[in-house]
Amino acid sequence: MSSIVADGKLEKAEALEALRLAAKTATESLLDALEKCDTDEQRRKIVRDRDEVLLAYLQSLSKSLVHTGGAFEQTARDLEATADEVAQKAKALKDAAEAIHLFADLVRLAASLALAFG
Amino acid sequence: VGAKKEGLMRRSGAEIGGWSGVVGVVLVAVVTAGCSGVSIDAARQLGLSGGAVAAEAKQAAIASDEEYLRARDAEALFHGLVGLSGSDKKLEEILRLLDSIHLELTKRGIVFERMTRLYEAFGDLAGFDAATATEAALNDLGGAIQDYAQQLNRTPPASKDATAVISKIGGLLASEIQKAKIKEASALIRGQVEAFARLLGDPLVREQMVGFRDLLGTDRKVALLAVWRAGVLDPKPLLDDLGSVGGLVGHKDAAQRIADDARLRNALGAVLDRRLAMRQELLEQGYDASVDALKRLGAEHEKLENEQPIDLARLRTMVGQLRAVVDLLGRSRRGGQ
Repeated sequence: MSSIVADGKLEKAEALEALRLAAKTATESLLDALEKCDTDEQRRKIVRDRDEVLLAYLQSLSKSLVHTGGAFEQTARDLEATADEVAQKAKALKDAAEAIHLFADLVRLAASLALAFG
Repeated sequence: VGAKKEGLMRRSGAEIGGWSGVVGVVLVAVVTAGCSGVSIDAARQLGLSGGAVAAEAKQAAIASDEEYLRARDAEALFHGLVGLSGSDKKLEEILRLLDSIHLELTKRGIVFERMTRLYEAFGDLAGFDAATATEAALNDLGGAIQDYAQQLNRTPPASKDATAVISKIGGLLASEIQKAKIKEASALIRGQVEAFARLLGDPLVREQMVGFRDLLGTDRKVALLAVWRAGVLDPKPLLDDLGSVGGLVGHKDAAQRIADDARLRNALGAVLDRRLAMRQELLEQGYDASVDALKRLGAEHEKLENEQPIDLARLRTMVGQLRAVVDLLGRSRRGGQ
Protein backbone atom coordinates (compact mmCIF):
# COMPACT_ATOMS: atom_id res chain seq x y z
CA MET A 1 0.00 0.00 0.00
CA SER A 2 1.85 3.09 -1.11
CA SER A 3 -0.90 5.15 -2.70
CA ILE A 4 -4.65 5.57 -2.65
CA VAL A 5 -6.05 3.19 -5.22
CA ALA A 6 -9.20 4.54 -6.82
CA ASP A 7 -11.16 1.28 -6.66
CA GLY A 8 -14.21 2.93 -5.11
CA LYS A 9 -13.37 1.67 -1.61
CA LEU A 10 -11.01 3.34 0.77
CA GLU A 11 -10.31 1.43 3.94
CA LYS A 12 -9.46 3.36 7.11
CA ALA A 13 -5.95 1.89 7.11
CA GLU A 14 -5.41 2.99 3.51
CA ALA A 15 -6.73 6.50 4.20
CA LEU A 16 -4.47 6.83 7.22
CA GLU A 17 -1.49 5.54 5.29
CA ALA A 18 -2.16 8.02 2.47
CA LEU A 19 -2.23 10.89 4.97
CA ARG A 20 0.98 9.65 6.60
CA LEU A 21 2.76 9.35 3.26
CA ALA A 22 1.70 12.91 2.44
CA ALA A 23 3.07 14.15 5.80
CA LYS A 24 6.25 12.13 5.30
CA THR A 25 6.82 13.47 1.79
CA ALA A 26 6.18 17.04 2.95
CA THR A 27 8.70 16.59 5.78
CA GLU A 28 11.33 14.94 3.58
CA SER A 29 11.10 17.70 0.97
CA LEU A 30 11.13 20.46 3.60
CA LEU A 31 14.88 21.20 3.48
CA ASP A 32 15.10 21.34 -0.32
CA ALA A 33 12.02 23.53 -0.44
CA LEU A 34 13.43 25.93 2.19
CA GLU A 35 16.71 26.22 0.28
CA LYS A 36 14.82 27.37 -2.80
CA CYS A 37 13.13 30.24 -0.94
CA ASP A 38 14.46 33.79 -1.10
CA THR A 39 12.56 35.38 1.78
CA ASP A 40 11.61 34.46 5.36
CA GLU A 41 7.97 34.88 4.42
CA GLN A 42 8.32 32.19 1.73
CA ARG A 43 10.12 29.89 4.19
CA ARG A 44 7.38 30.33 6.79
CA LYS A 45 4.76 29.57 4.17
CA ILE A 46 6.56 26.29 3.36
CA VAL A 47 6.66 25.29 7.05
CA ARG A 48 3.00 26.32 7.51
CA ASP A 49 1.92 24.22 4.53
CA ARG A 50 3.83 21.25 5.88
CA ASP A 51 2.21 21.86 9.31
CA GLU A 52 -1.25 21.57 7.75
CA VAL A 53 -0.43 18.25 6.10
CA LEU A 54 1.13 16.90 9.30
CA LEU A 55 -1.81 18.06 11.42
CA ALA A 56 -4.27 16.35 9.07
CA TYR A 57 -2.40 13.08 9.60
CA LEU A 58 -2.00 13.47 13.37
CA GLN A 59 -5.67 14.40 13.88
CA SER A 60 -6.82 11.40 11.82
CA LEU A 61 -4.45 9.08 13.64
CA SER A 62 -5.64 10.43 16.99
CA LYS A 63 -9.29 9.78 16.03
CA SER A 64 -8.56 6.32 14.66
CA LEU A 65 -6.84 5.31 17.92
CA VAL A 66 -10.17 5.75 19.69
CA HIS A 67 -11.62 2.96 17.51
CA THR A 68 -8.89 0.42 18.26
CA GLY A 69 -7.89 1.45 21.80
CA GLY A 70 -10.80 -0.47 23.34
CA ALA A 71 -9.63 -3.73 21.73
CA PHE A 72 -6.21 -3.36 23.36
CA GLU A 73 -7.75 -2.59 26.74
CA GLN A 74 -9.98 -5.66 26.42
CA THR A 75 -6.99 -7.81 25.38
CA ALA A 76 -5.03 -6.58 28.41
CA ARG A 77 -7.96 -7.44 30.69
CA ASP A 78 -8.37 -10.90 29.11
CA LEU A 79 -4.67 -11.65 29.44
CA GLU A 80 -4.73 -10.59 33.09
CA ALA A 81 -7.74 -12.80 33.83
CA THR A 82 -6.08 -15.77 32.11
CA ALA A 83 -2.82 -15.14 34.00
CA ASP A 84 -4.80 -15.22 37.27
CA GLU A 85 -6.49 -18.45 36.23
CA VAL A 86 -3.19 -20.13 35.28
CA ALA A 87 -1.55 -18.86 38.48
CA GLN A 88 -4.45 -20.38 40.42
CA LYS A 89 -3.83 -23.75 38.74
CA ALA A 90 -0.15 -23.61 39.69
CA LYS A 91 -1.06 -22.64 43.26
CA ALA A 92 -3.59 -25.48 43.58
CA LEU A 93 -0.93 -27.95 42.43
CA LYS A 94 1.58 -26.69 45.00
CA ASP A 95 -1.09 -26.48 47.70
CA ALA A 96 -1.87 -30.19 47.30
CA ALA A 97 1.72 -31.17 48.13
CA GLU A 98 1.83 -28.53 50.87
CA ALA A 99 -1.39 -29.93 52.38
CA ILE A 100 0.14 -33.40 52.61
CA HIS A 101 3.25 -31.99 54.32
CA LEU A 102 0.98 -30.07 56.68
CA PHE A 103 -0.93 -33.25 57.45
CA ALA A 104 2.38 -35.01 58.24
CA ASP A 105 3.23 -32.20 60.66
CA LEU A 106 -0.16 -32.61 62.28
CA VAL A 107 0.44 -36.34 62.71
CA ARG A 108 3.79 -35.60 64.38
CA LEU A 109 2.12 -33.08 66.64
CA ALA A 110 -0.57 -35.63 67.53
CA ALA A 111 2.15 -38.20 68.31
CA SER A 112 3.94 -35.74 70.61
CA LEU A 113 0.68 -34.92 72.39
CA ALA A 114 -0.22 -38.58 72.72
CA LEU A 115 3.19 -39.28 74.33
CA ALA A 116 2.78 -36.32 76.67
CA PHE A 117 -0.60 -37.56 77.85
CA GLY A 118 0.32 -41.27 77.71
CA VAL B 1 7.42 -64.43 70.44
CA GLY B 2 8.29 -66.59 67.43
CA ALA B 3 4.62 -67.03 66.58
CA LYS B 4 4.00 -63.30 66.93
CA LYS B 5 6.94 -62.53 64.64
CA GLU B 6 5.73 -65.08 62.12
CA GLY B 7 2.26 -63.54 62.25
CA LEU B 8 3.64 -60.07 61.66
CA MET B 9 5.74 -61.31 58.72
CA ARG B 10 2.72 -63.05 57.24
CA ARG B 11 0.71 -59.85 57.64
CA SER B 12 3.47 -57.74 56.03
CA GLY B 13 3.68 -60.18 53.11
CA ALA B 14 -0.08 -60.11 52.65
CA GLU B 15 -0.03 -56.31 52.95
CA ILE B 16 2.62 -55.96 50.23
CA GLY B 17 0.67 -58.36 48.07
CA GLY B 18 -2.45 -56.28 48.75
CA TRP B 19 -0.71 -53.05 47.89
CA SER B 20 0.61 -54.55 44.68
CA GLY B 21 -2.98 -55.21 43.77
CA VAL B 22 -3.88 -51.63 44.62
CA VAL B 23 -0.98 -50.39 42.49
CA GLY B 24 -2.23 -52.49 39.61
CA VAL B 25 -5.77 -51.19 39.98
CA VAL B 26 -4.63 -47.57 40.21
CA LEU B 27 -2.26 -47.90 37.27
CA VAL B 28 -5.01 -49.47 35.18
CA ALA B 29 -7.33 -46.65 36.26
CA VAL B 30 -4.75 -44.03 35.25
CA VAL B 31 -4.11 -45.72 31.92
CA THR B 32 -7.78 -46.22 31.10
CA ALA B 33 -8.53 -42.63 32.16
CA GLY B 34 -6.06 -41.61 29.45
CA CYS B 35 -2.50 -41.19 30.61
CA SER B 36 -1.56 -37.81 29.14
CA GLY B 37 1.33 -37.53 26.68
CA VAL B 38 1.66 -33.79 27.32
CA SER B 39 5.34 -33.09 27.90
CA ILE B 40 5.89 -31.10 31.08
CA ASP B 41 9.42 -30.26 29.96
CA ALA B 42 8.18 -28.98 26.58
CA ALA B 43 5.59 -26.85 28.40
CA ARG B 44 8.36 -25.44 30.60
CA GLN B 45 10.41 -24.52 27.51
CA LEU B 46 7.35 -23.08 25.78
CA GLY B 47 6.73 -20.91 28.84
CA LEU B 48 10.26 -19.49 28.56
CA SER B 49 9.91 -18.91 24.81
CA GLY B 50 6.53 -17.22 25.28
CA GLY B 51 8.02 -14.82 27.82
CA ALA B 52 10.88 -14.02 25.42
CA VAL B 53 8.47 -13.36 22.54
CA ALA B 54 6.41 -10.97 24.70
CA ALA B 55 9.50 -9.03 25.81
CA GLU B 56 11.07 -8.69 22.35
CA ALA B 57 7.78 -7.99 20.60
CA LYS B 58 7.08 -5.08 22.93
CA GLN B 59 10.35 -3.40 21.98
CA ALA B 60 9.81 -4.12 18.30
CA ALA B 61 6.24 -2.81 18.22
CA ILE B 62 6.07 0.16 20.59
CA ALA B 63 7.84 3.47 19.95
CA SER B 64 10.34 4.31 22.68
CA ASP B 65 10.22 7.56 24.65
CA GLU B 66 13.55 8.51 23.08
CA GLU B 67 12.18 8.20 19.52
CA TYR B 68 9.25 10.40 20.45
CA LEU B 69 11.27 13.03 22.34
CA ARG B 70 13.72 13.39 19.42
CA ALA B 71 10.77 13.94 17.06
CA ARG B 72 9.46 16.67 19.37
CA ASP B 73 12.90 18.32 19.20
CA ALA B 74 12.82 18.01 15.41
CA GLU B 75 9.48 19.83 15.21
CA ALA B 76 10.87 22.67 17.36
CA LEU B 77 13.92 22.81 15.07
CA PHE B 78 11.87 23.03 11.84
CA HIS B 79 9.88 25.94 13.23
CA GLY B 80 12.92 27.59 14.77
CA LEU B 81 14.75 27.47 11.43
CA VAL B 82 12.20 29.86 9.91
CA GLY B 83 11.88 32.10 12.96
CA LEU B 84 8.61 30.69 14.30
CA SER B 85 8.84 30.91 18.07
CA GLY B 86 8.24 28.13 20.59
CA SER B 87 4.83 29.60 21.43
CA ASP B 88 3.64 29.18 17.85
CA LYS B 89 0.05 27.90 17.86
CA LYS B 90 0.53 25.33 15.08
CA LEU B 91 3.67 23.97 16.71
CA GLU B 92 1.82 23.72 20.03
CA GLU B 93 -1.00 21.82 18.34
CA ILE B 94 1.47 19.44 16.66
CA LEU B 95 3.25 18.78 19.97
CA ARG B 96 -0.07 18.30 21.80
CA LEU B 97 -1.16 15.68 19.26
CA LEU B 98 2.25 13.96 19.31
CA ASP B 99 2.00 13.77 23.12
CA SER B 100 -1.50 12.32 23.20
CA ILE B 101 -0.83 9.81 20.40
CA HIS B 102 2.41 8.65 22.01
CA LEU B 103 0.65 8.27 25.35
CA GLU B 104 -2.16 6.24 23.78
CA LEU B 105 0.24 3.97 21.89
CA THR B 106 2.49 3.52 24.93
CA LYS B 107 -0.54 2.32 26.89
CA ARG B 108 -0.74 -0.55 24.40
CA GLY B 109 2.57 -1.78 25.78
CA ILE B 110 0.68 -3.00 28.83
CA VAL B 111 -0.76 -5.83 26.71
CA PHE B 112 2.76 -7.19 26.17
CA GLU B 113 3.45 -6.84 29.90
CA ARG B 114 0.27 -8.78 30.72
CA MET B 115 1.41 -11.45 28.27
CA THR B 116 4.78 -11.67 30.05
CA ARG B 117 2.93 -12.17 33.35
CA LEU B 118 0.76 -14.85 31.77
CA TYR B 119 3.84 -16.78 30.65
CA GLU B 120 5.39 -16.39 34.10
CA ALA B 121 2.29 -18.06 35.54
CA PHE B 122 2.47 -20.79 32.88
CA GLY B 123 6.16 -21.29 33.65
CA ASP B 124 5.27 -21.59 37.32
CA LEU B 125 2.68 -24.26 36.53
CA ALA B 126 4.99 -26.24 34.27
CA GLY B 127 8.14 -25.60 36.31
CA PHE B 128 6.79 -27.15 39.51
CA ASP B 129 7.85 -30.80 39.86
CA ALA B 130 4.49 -32.05 41.14
CA ALA B 131 5.46 -35.73 40.93
CA THR B 132 8.59 -35.40 43.08
CA ALA B 133 6.97 -32.94 45.49
CA THR B 134 3.91 -35.15 46.02
CA GLU B 135 6.02 -38.29 46.35
CA ALA B 136 8.22 -36.59 48.95
CA ALA B 137 5.18 -35.25 50.79
CA LEU B 138 3.52 -38.69 50.88
CA ASN B 139 6.76 -40.28 52.09
CA ASP B 140 6.91 -37.60 54.78
CA LEU B 141 3.34 -38.38 55.78
CA GLY B 142 3.98 -42.14 55.79
CA GLY B 143 7.05 -41.63 57.97
CA ALA B 144 5.10 -39.45 60.38
CA ILE B 145 2.33 -42.07 60.68
CA GLN B 146 4.88 -44.82 61.29
CA ASP B 147 6.60 -42.75 63.98
CA TYR B 148 3.22 -42.06 65.55
CA ALA B 149 2.39 -45.77 65.63
CA GLN B 150 5.80 -46.66 67.08
CA GLN B 151 5.48 -44.05 69.80
CA LEU B 152 2.13 -45.52 70.78
CA ASN B 153 3.47 -49.07 70.46
CA ARG B 154 0.93 -49.83 67.76
CA THR B 155 1.36 -51.59 64.43
CA PRO B 156 1.70 -49.02 61.63
CA PRO B 157 -1.33 -49.05 59.29
CA ALA B 158 1.05 -49.52 56.33
CA SER B 159 4.56 -50.94 56.11
CA LYS B 160 7.51 -48.93 54.76
CA ASP B 161 7.25 -50.77 51.45
CA ALA B 162 3.57 -50.04 51.18
CA THR B 163 4.22 -46.37 52.00
CA ALA B 164 6.80 -46.22 49.22
CA VAL B 165 4.28 -47.69 46.79
CA ILE B 166 1.59 -45.23 47.90
CA SER B 167 4.08 -42.37 47.40
CA LYS B 168 4.94 -43.57 43.91
CA ILE B 169 1.28 -43.76 42.96
CA GLY B 170 0.68 -40.31 44.46
CA GLY B 171 3.56 -38.90 42.41
CA LEU B 172 2.22 -40.52 39.27
CA LEU B 173 -1.26 -39.13 39.85
CA ALA B 174 0.13 -35.66 40.67
CA SER B 175 2.07 -35.71 37.42
CA GLU B 176 -1.11 -36.59 35.50
CA ILE B 177 -3.04 -33.83 37.27
CA GLN B 178 -0.25 -31.39 36.39
CA LYS B 179 -0.35 -32.45 32.73
CA ALA B 180 -4.11 -31.96 32.64
CA LYS B 181 -3.74 -28.49 34.14
CA ILE B 182 -0.98 -27.61 31.66
CA LYS B 183 -3.18 -28.71 28.79
CA GLU B 184 -6.08 -26.57 30.03
CA ALA B 185 -3.81 -23.58 30.63
CA SER B 186 -2.19 -23.96 27.22
CA ALA B 187 -5.58 -23.88 25.50
CA LEU B 188 -6.51 -20.72 27.42
CA ILE B 189 -3.19 -19.05 26.55
CA ARG B 190 -3.43 -20.07 22.90
CA GLY B 191 -6.80 -18.35 22.61
CA GLN B 192 -5.33 -15.14 24.01
CA VAL B 193 -2.15 -15.25 21.94
CA GLU B 194 -4.04 -15.89 18.72
CA ALA B 195 -6.47 -13.05 19.47
CA PHE B 196 -3.56 -10.70 20.18
CA ALA B 197 -1.81 -11.72 16.95
CA ARG B 198 -5.03 -11.00 15.02
CA LEU B 199 -5.34 -7.60 16.70
CA LEU B 200 -1.74 -6.61 15.91
CA GLY B 201 -2.11 -7.94 12.38
CA ASP B 202 -5.20 -5.80 11.72
CA PRO B 203 -4.22 -3.40 8.88
CA LEU B 204 -5.48 -0.32 10.75
CA VAL B 205 -3.64 -1.24 13.96
CA ARG B 206 -0.48 -1.99 12.00
CA GLU B 207 -0.70 1.35 10.20
CA GLN B 208 -1.28 3.18 13.49
CA MET B 209 1.68 1.62 15.25
CA VAL B 210 4.23 1.28 12.45
CA GLY B 211 3.11 4.47 10.70
CA PHE B 212 3.49 6.67 13.75
CA ARG B 213 7.00 5.35 14.40
CA ASP B 214 7.81 5.93 10.75
CA LEU B 215 6.70 9.54 11.05
CA LEU B 216 8.76 10.03 14.23
CA GLY B 217 11.75 8.59 12.39
CA THR B 218 11.25 10.88 9.39
CA ASP B 219 11.16 13.92 11.68
CA ARG B 220 14.39 12.88 13.35
CA LYS B 221 16.08 12.11 10.04
CA VAL B 222 15.19 15.46 8.46
CA ALA B 223 16.26 17.34 11.60
CA LEU B 224 19.63 15.57 11.50
CA LEU B 225 20.06 16.36 7.80
CA ALA B 226 19.17 20.01 8.52
CA VAL B 227 21.98 20.41 11.03
CA TRP B 228 24.30 18.38 8.80
CA ARG B 229 23.69 20.71 5.87
CA ALA B 230 24.26 23.68 8.18
CA GLY B 231 27.75 22.27 8.75
CA VAL B 232 27.52 22.23 12.53
CA LEU B 233 28.03 18.48 13.03
CA ASP B 234 31.47 16.92 13.37
CA PRO B 235 31.75 14.37 10.50
CA LYS B 236 34.69 12.53 12.10
CA PRO B 237 32.73 9.65 13.74
CA LEU B 238 30.98 8.97 10.44
CA LEU B 239 34.28 9.02 8.51
CA ASP B 240 35.93 6.82 11.15
CA ASP B 241 33.09 4.37 10.76
CA LEU B 242 33.37 4.36 6.96
CA GLY B 243 37.14 3.98 7.15
CA SER B 244 37.17 1.34 9.88
CA VAL B 245 36.77 -1.53 7.39
CA GLY B 246 40.22 -0.63 6.00
CA GLY B 247 41.72 0.33 9.34
CA LEU B 248 41.49 4.05 8.54
CA VAL B 249 40.17 7.05 10.47
CA GLY B 250 38.90 10.47 9.41
CA HIS B 251 41.46 13.19 8.67
CA LYS B 252 41.83 15.88 11.36
CA ASP B 253 40.90 18.57 8.80
CA ALA B 254 38.00 16.56 7.40
CA ALA B 255 35.32 18.94 8.72
CA GLN B 256 36.87 21.91 6.88
CA ARG B 257 37.36 19.96 3.65
CA ILE B 258 33.74 18.80 3.72
CA ALA B 259 32.57 22.36 4.44
CA ASP B 260 34.46 23.52 1.32
CA ASP B 261 33.21 20.71 -0.91
CA ALA B 262 29.43 20.77 -1.45
CA ARG B 263 29.49 17.55 -3.45
CA LEU B 264 31.25 15.65 -0.66
CA ARG B 265 28.90 17.16 1.93
CA ASN B 266 25.87 16.04 -0.09
CA ALA B 267 27.36 12.58 -0.59
CA LEU B 268 27.88 12.10 3.14
CA GLY B 269 24.38 13.49 3.69
CA ALA B 270 23.13 10.73 1.38
CA VAL B 271 24.95 8.14 3.52
CA LEU B 272 23.19 9.47 6.62
CA ASP B 273 19.89 9.48 4.76
CA ARG B 274 20.27 5.82 3.71
CA ARG B 275 21.33 4.71 7.18
CA LEU B 276 18.31 6.32 8.77
CA ALA B 277 16.01 5.03 6.02
CA MET B 278 17.22 1.51 6.74
CA ARG B 279 16.06 1.97 10.30
CA GLN B 280 12.57 2.75 9.04
CA GLU B 281 12.56 -0.52 7.09
CA LEU B 282 13.64 -2.36 10.23
CA LEU B 283 10.63 -0.95 12.08
CA GLU B 284 8.25 -2.67 9.68
CA GLN B 285 10.27 -5.90 9.73
CA GLY B 286 10.32 -5.89 13.54
CA TYR B 287 6.58 -5.37 13.80
CA ASP B 288 5.77 -8.12 11.28
CA ALA B 289 8.24 -10.47 12.94
CA SER B 290 6.42 -9.87 16.25
CA VAL B 291 3.07 -10.83 14.73
CA ASP B 292 4.64 -13.92 13.11
CA ALA B 293 6.26 -14.97 16.38
CA LEU B 294 2.90 -14.69 18.19
CA LYS B 295 1.24 -16.83 15.51
CA ARG B 296 4.01 -19.42 15.81
CA LEU B 297 3.61 -19.40 19.58
CA GLY B 298 -0.11 -20.19 19.17
CA ALA B 299 0.73 -23.05 16.78
CA GLU B 300 3.24 -24.53 19.24
CA HIS B 301 0.64 -24.40 22.03
CA GLU B 302 -1.73 -26.36 19.82
CA LYS B 303 0.96 -29.00 19.24
CA LEU B 304 1.58 -29.24 22.98
CA GLU B 305 -2.13 -29.78 23.63
CA ASN B 306 -2.30 -32.42 20.89
CA GLU B 307 0.67 -34.20 22.46
CA GLN B 308 2.85 -33.61 19.41
CA PRO B 309 6.52 -32.65 19.64
CA ILE B 310 6.89 -28.88 19.62
CA ASP B 311 9.40 -27.06 17.43
CA LEU B 312 11.05 -24.63 19.79
CA ALA B 313 14.10 -24.24 17.56
CA ARG B 314 12.01 -22.33 15.00
CA LEU B 315 10.46 -20.18 17.72
CA ARG B 316 13.90 -19.46 19.21
CA THR B 317 15.15 -18.42 15.77
CA MET B 318 12.22 -16.02 15.45
CA VAL B 319 12.94 -14.56 18.89
CA GLY B 320 16.59 -14.23 17.86
CA GLN B 321 15.61 -12.38 14.68
CA LEU B 322 13.36 -10.09 16.69
CA ARG B 323 16.16 -9.42 19.14
CA ALA B 324 18.54 -8.65 16.26
CA VAL B 325 16.08 -6.10 14.83
CA VAL B 326 15.61 -4.50 18.25
CA ASP B 327 19.41 -4.39 18.72
CA LEU B 328 19.90 -2.79 15.31
CA LEU B 329 17.20 -0.23 16.08
CA GLY B 330 18.88 0.52 19.40
CA ARG B 331 22.31 0.78 17.80
CA SER B 332 21.13 3.12 15.06
CA ARG B 333 19.39 5.19 17.76
CA ARG B 334 22.77 5.53 19.43
CA GLY B 335 24.27 6.64 16.13
CA GLY B 336 26.18 3.46 15.20
CA GLN B 337 25.49 1.09 12.38
